[in-house]
Amino acid sequence: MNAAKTFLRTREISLTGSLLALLVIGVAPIAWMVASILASAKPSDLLSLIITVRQWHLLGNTIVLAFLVAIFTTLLGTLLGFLLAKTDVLFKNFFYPILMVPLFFPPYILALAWFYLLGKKGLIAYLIGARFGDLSSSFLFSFSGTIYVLTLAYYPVTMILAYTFVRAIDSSSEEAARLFLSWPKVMARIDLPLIAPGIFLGGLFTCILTISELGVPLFLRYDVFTVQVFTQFAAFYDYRAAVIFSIPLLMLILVMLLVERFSLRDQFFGVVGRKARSEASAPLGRFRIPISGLVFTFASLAVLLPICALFITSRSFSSYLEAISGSGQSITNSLLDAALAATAITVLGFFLAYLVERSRRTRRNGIDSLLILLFAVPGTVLGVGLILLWNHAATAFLYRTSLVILLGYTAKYTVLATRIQGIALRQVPKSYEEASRLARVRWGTEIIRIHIPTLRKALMASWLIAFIFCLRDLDTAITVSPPGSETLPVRIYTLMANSPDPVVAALSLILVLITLAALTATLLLFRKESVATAP
Amino acid sequence: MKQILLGGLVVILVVGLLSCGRRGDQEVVIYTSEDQVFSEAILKAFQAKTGITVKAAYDTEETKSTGVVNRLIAEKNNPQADVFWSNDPVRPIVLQKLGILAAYQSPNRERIPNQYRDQEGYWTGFSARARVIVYNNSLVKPEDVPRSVVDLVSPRWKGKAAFANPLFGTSTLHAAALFGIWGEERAKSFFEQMKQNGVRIATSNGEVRDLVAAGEVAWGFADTDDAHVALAQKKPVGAVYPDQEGVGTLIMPSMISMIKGGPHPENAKKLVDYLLSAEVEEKLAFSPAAQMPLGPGAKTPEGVPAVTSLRGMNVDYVNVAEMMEKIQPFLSTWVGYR
Amino acid sequence: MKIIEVQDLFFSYGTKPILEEICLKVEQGKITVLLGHSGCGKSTLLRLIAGFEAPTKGVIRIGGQVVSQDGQIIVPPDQREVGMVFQDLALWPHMTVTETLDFVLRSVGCPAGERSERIEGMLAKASLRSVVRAYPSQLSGGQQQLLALARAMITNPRLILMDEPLSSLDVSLRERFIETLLRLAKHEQLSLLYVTHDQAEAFTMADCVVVMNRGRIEQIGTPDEVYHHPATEFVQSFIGITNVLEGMVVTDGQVKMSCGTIRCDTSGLKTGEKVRLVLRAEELQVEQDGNGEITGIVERKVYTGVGILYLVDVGGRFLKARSLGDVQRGRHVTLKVIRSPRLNRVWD
Repeated sequence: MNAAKTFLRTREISLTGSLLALLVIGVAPIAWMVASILASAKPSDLLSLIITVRQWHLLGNTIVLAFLVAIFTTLLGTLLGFLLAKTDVLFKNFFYPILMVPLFFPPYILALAWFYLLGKKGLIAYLIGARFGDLSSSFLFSFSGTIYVLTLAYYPVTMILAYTFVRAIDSSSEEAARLFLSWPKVMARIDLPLIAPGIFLGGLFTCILTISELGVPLFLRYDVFTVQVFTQFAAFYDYRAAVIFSIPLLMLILVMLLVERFSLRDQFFGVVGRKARSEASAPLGRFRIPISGLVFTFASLAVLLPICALFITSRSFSSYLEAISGSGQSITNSLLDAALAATAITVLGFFLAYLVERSRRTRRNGIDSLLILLFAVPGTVLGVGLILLWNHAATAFLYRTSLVILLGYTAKYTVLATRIQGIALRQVPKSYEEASRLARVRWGTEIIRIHIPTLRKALMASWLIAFIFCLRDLDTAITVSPPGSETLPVRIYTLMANSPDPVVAALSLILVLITLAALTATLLLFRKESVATAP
Repeated sequence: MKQILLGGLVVILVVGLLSCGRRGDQEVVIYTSEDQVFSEAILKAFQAKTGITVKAAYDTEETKSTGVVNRLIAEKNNPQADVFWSNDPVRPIVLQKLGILAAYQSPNRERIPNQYRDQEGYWTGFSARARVIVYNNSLVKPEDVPRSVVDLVSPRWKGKAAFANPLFGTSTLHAAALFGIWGEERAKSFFEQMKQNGVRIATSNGEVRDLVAAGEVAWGFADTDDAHVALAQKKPVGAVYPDQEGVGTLIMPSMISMIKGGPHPENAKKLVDYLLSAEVEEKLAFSPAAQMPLGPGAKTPEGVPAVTSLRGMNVDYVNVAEMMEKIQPFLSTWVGYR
Repeated sequence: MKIIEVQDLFFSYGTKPILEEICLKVEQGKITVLLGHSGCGKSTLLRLIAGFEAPTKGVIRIGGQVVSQDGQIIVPPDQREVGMVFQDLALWPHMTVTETLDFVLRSVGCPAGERSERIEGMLAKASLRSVVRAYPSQLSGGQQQLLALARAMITNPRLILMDEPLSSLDVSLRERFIETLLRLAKHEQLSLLYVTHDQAEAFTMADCVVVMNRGRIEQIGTPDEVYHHPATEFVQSFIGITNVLEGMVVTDGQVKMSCGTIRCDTSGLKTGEKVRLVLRAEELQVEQDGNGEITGIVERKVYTGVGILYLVDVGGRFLKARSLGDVQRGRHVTLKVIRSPRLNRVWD
């Protein structure tokens, strides 16, 4: 009896603790800011709430853009995820990390790379002709171009999710269907419905990312509503109005959340039995070479071309030297901040996911909505909130160090971990935990011995995705970075102003390479572990 | 075993992070919107000379992020910065109105002419830029080079010119200055005509320069440092100072201000003194920024004119600041955000 | 007619051998049971027959047709006309009972009219009529099992594979299920290949038992053959409730063990040789009047379905024995060997 009480106590403490952490890290800055806004609110502020016709138009633009990008990235990412996870495509273990690369770029830099390629005097124009250059330039600087670049920027999100969840499907479900159907039909009728929540999640994420993205639409000349928020900051120095203008965007996202909740109706089809054996590969047969060729072509388009553009722009080795000199500190800062934050996010994400999954509906939806909103809040708004909350003499240890950056990352990106692990947790039957409870296993041991192993793939995916997002984060970092502790993306952006193009290109490539290296190292490290426990 | 190692690593890292935030005594914190490419070297020189560690927060191009100004405003109740080095003359005035600046009569102020500084010592100008016209020299023949801001509405350049978003950066100053000189009615009409003439709105001056260099447009407005950087990179561009026969071009000095309540006031004064010296103005003149010294004693290279040799717009920066605030709603609508 | 023929089959996972020298013939219309410990390879053999993996070496024929050979899957699973009930049932959580059966029929190309007919029939046979619109998560354990079976049967496959399908059911459900299965098997003339580690199950169901151990087949035979004429020591000790004792031949016809000396057939063995005896529980009778060769105390009485099993403490270990009459716990008894136990030489 005592053991049960202790267990419940430690578990409750840890879960409540995680909730408190969420409130302090994420909600407090926003709440503080909203409170200070309300305290000093003027009637004229309310006036700015009234949206003009033009602004409705911009909002419409944002919705359409987000919607289309979400659809394209979902289709593309799901297809790639399936191919790489389930079939015997050639070199699939090489393609998977490579195809993640576009996500490592801050989207603006990706757009810049495409500008170097498709601009009037770009690489394509140089190779094929000025006429084509005109065409490609007018394609790029348009609505279609914006969709094109953002799709290429965000498809890795859906790809990673589809890949992770496809790999987690219990193989006997598939084998049961394999007795009647060929592989393509099995994937369509069995796998796809089983991973539907994961796919939808990917679409939701890319939707939110597109809505909060400003640099790319601004550059490619597609007017979106997000520019309102930005303008209030950058042109009017009025963070109060900026927050107010964030509200329509946040409401948009809340609507999407409600749609998701209604349509999925909390149905999660998990089948957990024995662990999947050897990853069942659907043989592509005579389509193997053509499809592998298509994947390679796509990788060349999405990954190789932009990198080449940057590489050519970087022109000579001296650009890299110039780029690195003085950047050593920011590279270290970036890697450290991102790694620590990703770890904190994964851990906090686990407890919150557990809390969410084992809670009743209202609490579950409440926490989830909170996390989504924190993700969607513009990074600068969050940054200002952090400044207002933590910039006091008493909390200098936090505000003056990189801890404030960690807080910002954690506030913004924990939703990634919580959602991913939440889906995985739903697939685990409660009997696993009940068995350990009967065996008088302590909560800490249960986490280490039971939850971590069963959730291993989801934990890894959470860490990876969180790491990538933290590494490339700009808005939050630039607002709160203690002077002298800048991260690499911040440095790239501050140097971009009037730095020679080659140096900017070199720095961007360095950022991508670092992310790729860190990622590959992590994948290799954990691949060894999972191989060791193979059947 | 692996877990213990990982755990220990995490602890070490967190402690390391925490300890690196402690402020030493021989430090000074500066926020600057002067391009890092130019300012970093100056600050390093100060550090080498005095041994005081400089911790700097830099800014991005106008539309890449919300800038250090917002940070200064947000940190008002517990200032983290000692000095603000602005690359335009008007933002410090905004801060002054909000009570964020401290007055300091630096001895080096005296060398700067009166029209570039305020009375009490809240802001002092130095190393100025100017608005220029950059043009693509394979698309624009020497005899056709536009010479005035009104060329933006000339039919021969329909759809071929670019101007940076007037809500941000130095374009705002430019717009405000035009409003000041022409009066509201003429200025509004001018902007409407600009739209009708298909002037391309870029996200920043740097982008204007890049669009011109890439041949996406024939010419556009930018600042002297943008133009000089393009020339130094041997891009196919040329630059002229507009309206030298007419209203003149807008001279935009950098500004130095002290932050009220900053953590290291004594070191801040030293930094301010240094930045207002002829040595720094000379360094900036010779840098790719090619900024024009305002005070005596600074040599300049070929290509950087003496500021007195240019015809500058006759403006009072305080008035420009006020006009800026006034026309923002109009500009917002004009750009299409409203 | 042999529905399955496995010839000289080897299977390794990487470098680890899982199955070796498997030769097996399964009769059509009969129930064949693969019996063995967990991990002996019986489930793997099933998967190879289903076509989910290819044998490293050897041939598998179904209905006379070569389906897998030497590292190649020649006929893919969906074309082997095989049904399977998985150990974890593998029911599709996003389909109701009817949808599951309908999906399967549609996948094999059954026309619409015939489909509803066959589904109706199967639902009746499997007693699932009352839950047609339920999802697997809403079914009881027994109903889930029946659905898995129905799914395997509805396409009229030529062979049904079953991988420990009853392991999660309680005894009464298990009995009911076995009854249903046997009835259906007889009625439909099903060919079943059934995998289990439970002897009672095996002996209830099987027309033919295949005893497996560590990737090899120890013996193939009818239940009676396997039980009464075990071919190897493993089979003898695995089948039934057995005692394995170590002793030494003291004279011709006598073996001395730590708990006593017994008489048995020692032909072919020399005096002083170390031997191992395998005694079934029913070969060891509990005697209350001192007629037996081994003394002990009744430690525990186990009420099995068939009579009472006695655990007798013979000084340091427990022997399993049976008795004609009822014996109290704690009584001093002797054990008498009724049949001459099988002897095996012990090598060091």
